[in-house]
Amino acid sequence: MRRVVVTGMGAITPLGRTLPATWAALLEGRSGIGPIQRFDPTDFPVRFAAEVDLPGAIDEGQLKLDLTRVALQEALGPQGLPDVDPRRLGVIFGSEAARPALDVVATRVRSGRVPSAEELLRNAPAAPTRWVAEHIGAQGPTVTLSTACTSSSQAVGEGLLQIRRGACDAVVVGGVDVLVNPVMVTGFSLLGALSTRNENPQAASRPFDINRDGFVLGEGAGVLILESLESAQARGAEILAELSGYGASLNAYRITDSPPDGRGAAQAMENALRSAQISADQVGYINAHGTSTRMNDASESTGIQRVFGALGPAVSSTKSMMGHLVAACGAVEAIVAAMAVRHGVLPPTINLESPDPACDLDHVANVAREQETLHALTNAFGFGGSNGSLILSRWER
Amino acid sequence: MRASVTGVGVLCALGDDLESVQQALAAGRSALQPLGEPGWEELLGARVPGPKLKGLLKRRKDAKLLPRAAKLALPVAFQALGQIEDPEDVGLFAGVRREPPDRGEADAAIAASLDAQGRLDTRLLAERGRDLYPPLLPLMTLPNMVLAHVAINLELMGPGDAVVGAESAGVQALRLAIHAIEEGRCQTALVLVADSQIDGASLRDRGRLGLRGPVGEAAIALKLEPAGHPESLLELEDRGAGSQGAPTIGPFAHRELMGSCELVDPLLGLLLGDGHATGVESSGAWARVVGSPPSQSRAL
Repeated sequence: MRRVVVTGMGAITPLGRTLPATWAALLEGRSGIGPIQRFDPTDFPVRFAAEVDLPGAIDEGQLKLDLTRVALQEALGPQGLPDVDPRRLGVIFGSEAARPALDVVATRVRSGRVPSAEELLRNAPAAPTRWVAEHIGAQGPTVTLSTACTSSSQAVGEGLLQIRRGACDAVVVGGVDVLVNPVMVTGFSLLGALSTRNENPQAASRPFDINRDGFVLGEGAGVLILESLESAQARGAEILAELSGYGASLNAYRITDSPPDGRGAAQAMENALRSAQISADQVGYINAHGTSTRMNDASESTGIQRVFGALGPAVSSTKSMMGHLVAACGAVEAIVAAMAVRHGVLPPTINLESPDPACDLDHVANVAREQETLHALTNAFGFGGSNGSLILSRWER
Repeated sequence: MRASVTGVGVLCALGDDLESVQQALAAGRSALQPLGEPGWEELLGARVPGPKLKGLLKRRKDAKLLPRAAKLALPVAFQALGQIEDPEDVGLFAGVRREPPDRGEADAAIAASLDAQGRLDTRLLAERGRDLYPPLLPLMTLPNMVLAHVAINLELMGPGDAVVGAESAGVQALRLAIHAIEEGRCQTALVLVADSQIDGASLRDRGRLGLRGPVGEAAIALKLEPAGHPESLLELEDRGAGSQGAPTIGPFAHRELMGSCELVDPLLGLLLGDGHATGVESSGAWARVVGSPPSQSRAL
């Protein structure tokens, strides 16, 4: 089985425009959540979010491409891409469609006039994938996966499988999402999924805390450069981490609800362990999906306990600081897990003041923990019941 | 990478199983007729009647959550999968179009939120529009809803994924399923491709993209098991994917009788005699799977 390593990582998140900025904020326990700036939310039931500071886009579709470009440039960094046959260079992204700008929708409602094909193509879920493929000259498989919050976790996992089976020598994987707009804030708040802690936004995302009341909409992008170990070693590239396992499953339960017994989550984690050929006790850290909704956190905790037992690994949810990046969260949190094993320090779950007894885990609560970790697992679970788990391992020569 | 097709489900305007579709094609029976959609009255298209969902939903109240593509997908998923012992080990791989287009579900909310100059006012959206906004809309427009509803109602818990895009999404999903079988991540996989373009908003978006001509809607499901399976109807081989140098596609004979259904057409072509499923997108991205008769006599 070919081994797959990470030789580039880039992230733009509500915590910063670069991965070092995001990582520093995570270790400090600093929140990127605040009052919504993109529109006047005064009369909305939810008036805060985790926005990215990147002005200039004309609409969501353009912002998604801008975020992708920033994350890709950082991931390429000084090492760039391996010099592989372009037909063996793939691009796999997790994404959703961007929503049309509200004034575009308003114009259609008012006058029936529809915007151009360019607008439609720019907002398509595959637009970031296509842009990356064109930008780097990839001629191998280009795939866009869209399983809501699991999208980019599965994109990273499929990248691993492509290289393992020998279909590609390198794959650029990642995810991007932008959701902070009046219609989505309206829609998700009507579903009762969002925290309404308007008086204190930085305390709103509190995964595993007994007083949690919903997730916080976020946005951002994450990109990883995956290549075979032989390729990385042949070019003398610095290896940042090994991507050693991927597991997926379906809940087959309900559209919005997670099964209380955590069965689907457990199955994805077990599949990832099998894929990595390691046992549960070898995992030292879990970057949980940890959305801060009542149902997800309890279900995920039960799933973790099913797989890892009562004395499981350290667990934290960085959504407590970044909010929920939805289609981008899997890739960004895979990067966080890679940083944790690389630097031997685990970012915390902030706002964890009163751990919910239904979430009885070894929480990295409120402050980062120094801990050498060989294997970290990261979870992503989506509306509709798609689950993805990845294992990032410390690279040791 | 190879796998056997051991079950097939088809639903389109020509029939509700593979045999009836083959008979309609042999007879040259067209399902095309004027669609009658406002603004597209003369355009020919082929609607699927129904489909009947009675007995397919675990919770009847979920019917109101189903987008059209999921309504088409459910019957073919049941048809292809048949009786299985362990649904928890069945993988599910769906090829779907982008999120359903802006079909105007939120128009009332938007209209109530326009100021005197006709501009959208977020204050009015919060005050008046919010009460008119369909609360379940975000759930109906997620691209993975076909995957989700089929998994829930057939209780499938294996690995699952939804490939989103245009003409190659269905073939990409087929490739993922072949890989999952070959690599032992599941013993059985269901591939599901569903597409509906027959409504005013979809037709409007097709027009924006310069797509003309008769349009259809359809769903197809293939049950895959390890290659060389004794119940094999068709042996599949993954022939790769890329973003340049696409192989030729079609011609899809069925389009003359039921219109274009870009996501499903390559898989219908595979079953109806072309011997390959090849999807090519306008960007140049492509994916290809070829089929051959099994060595046993149980051919399609």
